[in-house]
Amino acid sequence: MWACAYVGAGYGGLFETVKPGNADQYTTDPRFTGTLSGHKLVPSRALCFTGYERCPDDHVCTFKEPNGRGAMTVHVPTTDPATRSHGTSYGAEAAPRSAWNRTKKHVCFYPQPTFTGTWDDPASLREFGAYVILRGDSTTIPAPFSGTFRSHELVNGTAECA
Amino acid sequence: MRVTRPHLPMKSRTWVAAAAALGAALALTTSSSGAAEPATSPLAAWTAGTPVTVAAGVTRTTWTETTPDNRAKARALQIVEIDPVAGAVTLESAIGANDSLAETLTEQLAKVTPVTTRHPWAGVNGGLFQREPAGAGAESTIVHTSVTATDGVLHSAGCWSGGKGSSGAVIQYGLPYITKLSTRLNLVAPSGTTVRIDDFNRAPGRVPHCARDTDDVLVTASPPVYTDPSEIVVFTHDYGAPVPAPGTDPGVAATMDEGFEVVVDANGVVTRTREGRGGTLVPAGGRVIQGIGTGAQWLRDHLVPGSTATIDQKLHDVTMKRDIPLDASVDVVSSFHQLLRHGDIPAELPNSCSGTETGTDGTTLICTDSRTALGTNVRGRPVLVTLTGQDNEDGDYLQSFAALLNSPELGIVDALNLDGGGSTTLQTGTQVHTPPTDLKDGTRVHREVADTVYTGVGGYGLYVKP
Repeated sequence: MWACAYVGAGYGGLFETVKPGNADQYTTDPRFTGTLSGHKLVPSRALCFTGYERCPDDHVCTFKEPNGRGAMTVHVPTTDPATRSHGTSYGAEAAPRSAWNRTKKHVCFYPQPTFTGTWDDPASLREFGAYVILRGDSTTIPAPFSGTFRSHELVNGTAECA
Repeated sequence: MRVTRPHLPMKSRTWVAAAAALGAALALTTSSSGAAEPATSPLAAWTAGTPVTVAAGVTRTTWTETTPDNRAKARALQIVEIDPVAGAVTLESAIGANDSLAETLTEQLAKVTPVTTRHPWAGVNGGLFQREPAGAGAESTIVHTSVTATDGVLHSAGCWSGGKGSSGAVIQYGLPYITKLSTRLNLVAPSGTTVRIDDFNRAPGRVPHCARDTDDVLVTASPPVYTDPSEIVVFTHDYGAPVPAPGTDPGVAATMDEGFEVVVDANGVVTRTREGRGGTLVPAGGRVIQGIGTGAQWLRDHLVPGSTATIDQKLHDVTMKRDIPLDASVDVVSSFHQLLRHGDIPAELPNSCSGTETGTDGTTLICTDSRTALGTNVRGRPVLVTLTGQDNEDGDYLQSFAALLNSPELGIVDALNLDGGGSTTLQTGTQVHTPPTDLKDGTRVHREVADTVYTGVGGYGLYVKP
């Protein structure tokens, strides 16, 4: 197994990899000396570069950093009686920079905690009303959406998004 | 209700203690670089082109042979690199319109989504496959070789390979994880009695390309075809063609067995059983199960209309000795050989070649098999790779291809060989970058293949409704 050693919490931040059967030292590189916050063992090196594997099946997971790394939030959806949205309104945690929709429905993300809000699209002079990640897909979230989500809902078809 | 579960695997320790524990586990000494690098990089005789940005996070680079190696024309090595941090990109496999038919890469990528602005950014042909003979009036259908799956739906069983499994890539959350794979497939009757399922989506009795289990006996060697007179084969909801009737291959006696057939609906309930088989379309969300020999008898004895038939399927990572859960986020493509593992060429990689010809020196044979590979590089990014001629079919021996991919300039760490030869196709957007190699009505065309590996749109904005 490869060993991945991370400076940031939740497989985030700077990290180093160690090939099976090899060793490495952390006494001279000031970036790593006394700074490691976590590690994991993985069967291939590329798996050190992600943290998506923590997301349990049938959940939407959002992550503080791109590519499924950093602190993860596992969302347990409820049905909002006012909006009838089947989703999650976020609390104080950092707005995500990547997400995995590991459910059987599509997910629509919104910039407001009330399943509403818009983003400007300078290219078309129109406004986006939702950001969609289809069922099963994981992705780093690009600008202008990155770091802005405050709620999401699960839908059978994207026409149901606000 | 929101549940926050920050993942801190070492939350009970201080950072210093954690580093010390990791150090002890890794036996801290001076780091070792592993195997020595070759004296001259295989890519020293090639020239790198300027990387072309296909989309945010997707680039294509073409290396061209500076001095053709014992051949008249320079070859082209093309590498699509996918950066999952730089853009909203996915990595997936697809089968086109349905699982029974081969289509060109262009046709398969066009069917990923009807929305042209979300057309896949780049793709290559996928795993190995064989065509079934068009016997008894049936269409010529295709059968995947070893494990394949899209969105968690298995389309083919693993090759037996003496119990060692066969090399494949499990594609999940944007990464291909290359390992040895096998499958355990069982049909469960209402009573709880189980029977092994031999495969998916092929004619019972005729096992193409590799034995799926120890009951399969070799009939012909080229192409390899095995047989088993007692089988159960399940057809999936996306098979897309009438299931095969008896007699698809008069050269394989087991295919003449009239057999027994069961139709199962989307809830797993048996809606019809009958003597004989063939011509049935799989119902939406359902399955059709065919049996021959003792397989047919098991179906007769255990499944009646109204009963429930459960398919218990397991994907097994032979290398890590654990099952991989199948859900909608899992795709699988397979072949026989891993080209690079942990940055090294596996000792067991054969130096295969199907098509050789005499080189320009008039003496030495060169291998002209085009090659396709799927891998990951030192930056943790997936890569899609093809080796072809620029306007002709060319390639290399398998070990030479692996050595090329192992060049330090490329930084590829793990790589799986996919289907090559005339199947090798690379496309970005709607443009194909590899030469057509099949002849159809006197015209060179791109080959119709079984599946594809592609990078597509991971997420997208929806405009406000008017």
